Amino acid sequence: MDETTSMIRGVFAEEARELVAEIEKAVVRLTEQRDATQRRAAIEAVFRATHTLKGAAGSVGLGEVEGLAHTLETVLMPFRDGSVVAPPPLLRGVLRVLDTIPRHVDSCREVDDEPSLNDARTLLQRLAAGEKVVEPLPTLTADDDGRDRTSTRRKVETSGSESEMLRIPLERISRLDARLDAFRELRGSLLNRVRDAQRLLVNLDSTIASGDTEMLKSLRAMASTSYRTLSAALTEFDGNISDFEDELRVTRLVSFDSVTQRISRAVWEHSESVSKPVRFEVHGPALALDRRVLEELKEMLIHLVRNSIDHGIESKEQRKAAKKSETGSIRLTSSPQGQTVLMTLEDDGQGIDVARVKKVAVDRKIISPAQAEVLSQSDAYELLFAAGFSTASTVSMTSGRGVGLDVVREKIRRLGGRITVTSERGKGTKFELDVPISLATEQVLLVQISGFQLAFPISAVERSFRVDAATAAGLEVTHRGQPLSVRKLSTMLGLPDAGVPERQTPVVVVSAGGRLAAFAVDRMLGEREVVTRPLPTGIVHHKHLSSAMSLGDGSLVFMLNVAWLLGAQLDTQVETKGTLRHRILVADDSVTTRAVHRQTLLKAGFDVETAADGEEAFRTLSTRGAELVVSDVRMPNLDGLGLARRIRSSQRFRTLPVILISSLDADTDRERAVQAGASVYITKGEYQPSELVRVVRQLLGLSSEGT
Amino acid sequence: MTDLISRLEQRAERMATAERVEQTGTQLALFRRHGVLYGFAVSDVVSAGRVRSLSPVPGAEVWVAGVTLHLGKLLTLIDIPRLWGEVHRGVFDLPSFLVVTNGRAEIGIVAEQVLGMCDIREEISSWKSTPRPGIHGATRFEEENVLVLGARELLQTSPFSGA
Repeated sequence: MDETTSMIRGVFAEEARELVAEIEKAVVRLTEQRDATQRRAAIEAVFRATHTLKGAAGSVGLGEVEGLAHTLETVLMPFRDGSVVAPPPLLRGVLRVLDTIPRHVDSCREVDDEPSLNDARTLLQRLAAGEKVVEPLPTLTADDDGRDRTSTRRKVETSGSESEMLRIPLERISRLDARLDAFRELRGSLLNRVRDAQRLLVNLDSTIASGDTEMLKSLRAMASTSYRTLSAALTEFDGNISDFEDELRVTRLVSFDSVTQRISRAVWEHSESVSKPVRFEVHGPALALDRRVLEELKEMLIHLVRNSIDHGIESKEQRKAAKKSETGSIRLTSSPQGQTVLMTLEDDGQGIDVARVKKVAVDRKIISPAQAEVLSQSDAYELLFAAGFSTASTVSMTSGRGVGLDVVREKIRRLGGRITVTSERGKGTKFELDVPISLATEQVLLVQISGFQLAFPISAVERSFRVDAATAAGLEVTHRGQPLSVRKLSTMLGLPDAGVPERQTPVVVVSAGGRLAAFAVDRMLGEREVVTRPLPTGIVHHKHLSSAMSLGDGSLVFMLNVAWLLGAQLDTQVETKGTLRHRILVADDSVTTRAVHRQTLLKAGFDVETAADGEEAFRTLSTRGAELVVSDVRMPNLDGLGLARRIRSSQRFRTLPVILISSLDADTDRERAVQAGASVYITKGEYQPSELVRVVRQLLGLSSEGT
Repeated sequence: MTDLISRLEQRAERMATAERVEQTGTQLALFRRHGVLYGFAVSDVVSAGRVRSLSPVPGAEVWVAGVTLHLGKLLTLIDIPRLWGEVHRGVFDLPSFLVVTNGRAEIGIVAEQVLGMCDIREEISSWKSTPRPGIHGATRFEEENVLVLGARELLQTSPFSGA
């Protein structure tokens, strides 16, 4: 086969996987629909994707796939208007046939002769004709799932060797490109430093030959500078590498949707096979997790839903007798908790029969009768995770063999997580899987509170809106019929009272564990998809924070622990205030000095903007404005004196107060600062945070209390 | 020739002796903060870095300088004098940090200057004064006092004890 055809078939292989996943999803949806309109919408989705698959297969010369897709359309045609329900055996057959397509397409990437798919076509035709067919194709199980249908990462077998393909959104490639640019820039800078070192070596050689001691001393000083700049470049290099690694790791994240789709199918297939209708619901935010964690989770969750269907959900007759809906329910909720993700799987079945659990445990000699007597309910639940335990009276292909929950717990334990079970007799059973995540992306709502950027997980945000700052005090809003007092988040967190910088106060309504609260924040900064990381040592004990995330520019933002906030807010009575904050611009090339000034001023209740040099400071001033500038003198690009001069020569800012802070303490330095336009000159030696705040307040004409 | 061999042997002996002397001393990673020299045993130190970006932590203690991204991991940077409740006048640049570990957790210690690995010839005496989190002992380096810190002692104090 020529290279071009092979390449095109490689592209088709990827497209085929996506289309198959799409068809599979629509087929599973079709099984869940009860009315004709919804069924029609689902089957239309099946047809759309099948038609695309047929056309694409034809264009790459894969006539067998094209033919199979055509057969698929033909057998599903009678159900296209939604009025007739497609028989489950046929849909099961469709799913089996779909399983074969990706592998078939992969096998054709390097060969001209396409193997026949006649068996698959015949199977579909026989099922469509109403024949009872003993399925020749293997049943999909959690453990032998040979392919990952919907994730962005695929395993492809080619010519006996295994290669892996990765489909990465263009946006992520652009971000990697941007990181590469940073490397290129750094390389240029390193090259200059290396040339400096080369020149130094040449000078050293000639100086050693001449024996000029003074010259040697100055060359030694130059070598020291060169060492420092190279060390700094190395640190920057390390930073760039870690940013690059982050971006690269993100490309390996897989959507949690890919797992829920697999579980959805497993629920439908298993409930069909044991004739227990079950509705499967998925709740939670859009999540992307490390592929390895997802693979493990998929296996565990499939195992648990099958367990629920076998042991939890009652038969139709039993449910009817218990005055329950004939259709059982299984609900999967995912909830990111910062360093872990909590997966809750609940069914509305018969719950766990503790007496029976104890009896089985005694019969199997897991515990003694005396131990069973005193065993608490929660300890009895623990027995379910013992090796060899099963209460199933019949053995099915997937459960009742006493192998399962112990394996699930062991897998969770290996991931560093935990699994617990709770149950209520007659009402249902709930499994909670708390799984650590080394890296995950999450959708967040960024807000500003007292000058800090913080994030709410979108999954916890019920709604956000603005209220007039003047009327916000003591405001009560109603959400889902529940009256909520608007509370100020900065006060709850013990941060300086920020007031509100805008005329309108943003309010965020959040929920967790069935509780609701409304928080006033200073600013709403919008939604973002971010990579979340566990909190580091030294911060972990701060319960109001749950994780941290990098915004890609080196800055970090902390995620608020909504469950903690909701617990804490019950005891806090807070009101919003309609005051405006004064904005201070801090310019300093040292990141720590900036942080020190920023903290000091934030604590004093000011709003703070920062800049790394005079140029950036003036740009920030022009675009965002400020009521006062605090600046270092020695800065790259434009120093503090230059900044003060530019401010004084500007029509717009000529009266703006400027405080210059410098380590230069000679009288001439002070004079130069005043001549440049400084309102106040503070030397670093005499600097004290309280003094800075006092001067700022004085220059802004504020009283000694509040802003 | 005999003279040359003898001289080489003498030199080898001198070098070997010198090596033995070095091995009897202690190596500390020294850094300076508010003019005071501090040191960690080299075995406690994982790496050192320059502060590229520092994010303040809302609601954190005053001795938490902030959090930075270092070698792909989040690292909390703390200020030892402030951890000990010392208040100093003046504003200082904190361009560097040392990363220390107790084998399980890591923490960054901010510094005005990192002097690097230094051979300490004098004995390290154990700390008998007011207890301070992380303090291990004291010694001298080139006529200056050095407060010797221990990562294990530091990371077993209350804010880090979960680590």
